[in-house]
Amino acid sequence: MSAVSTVLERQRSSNSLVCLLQGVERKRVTVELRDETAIEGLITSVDCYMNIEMGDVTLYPRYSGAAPQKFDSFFISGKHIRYVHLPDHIDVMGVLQKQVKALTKLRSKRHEKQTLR
Amino acid sequence: MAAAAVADQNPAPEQGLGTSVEEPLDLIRLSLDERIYVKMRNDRELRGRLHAYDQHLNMILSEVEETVTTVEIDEETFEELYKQTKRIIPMLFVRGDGVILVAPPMRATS
Repeated sequence: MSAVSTVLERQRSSNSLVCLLQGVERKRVTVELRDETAIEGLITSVDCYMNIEMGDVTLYPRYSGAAPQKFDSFFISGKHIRYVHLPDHIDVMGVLQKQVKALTKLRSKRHEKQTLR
Repeated sequence: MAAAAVADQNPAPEQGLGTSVEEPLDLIRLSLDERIYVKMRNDRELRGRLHAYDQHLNMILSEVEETVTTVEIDEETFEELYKQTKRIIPMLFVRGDGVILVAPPMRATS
């Protein structure tokens, strides 16, 4: 998740499975879009709307005849996503617990600051 | 799962994570860690083990078998031919807006 997320955005993330995608940042995944395009690459960041930024990307167009294209960086709008193929060895519960902990910790820190003022 | 994530936020009554059914989504909770059937938009079906879900029906499934059904029309007889393509995906995140229905695992009989 990006460093500049608001309280509301963090709350949204920790309330949904988007935080699992944030937990696999810096891992290689394949994202399939609703138009059958597949995008393989390294996740750099995921926001609470499931918009994904990726690096070192190969795009496989929907018609299998067309040649794959390469991109150094790529942005995917969350609402066009159908699937994300995750690395199969990830510990789902472990990642989720870690993410929720990190997100709520940030929030309570900020809350402390506000009450001190 | 997200159920756990939610519980962290609003400490609901402890029975919240048990086996009680108070809202429709609770039925899906009973299928956690079981093989489920998911019908998706665009004539797609998934069968896989449910690891986690959230209120949008975003889901994490493992050992997924995806079946895509396409229709081809025979040029001479104009018959509709249904063709099914299957593939196996080890670990899959499914975005909830494509989900039509979620069914619990088939029981013994089948």
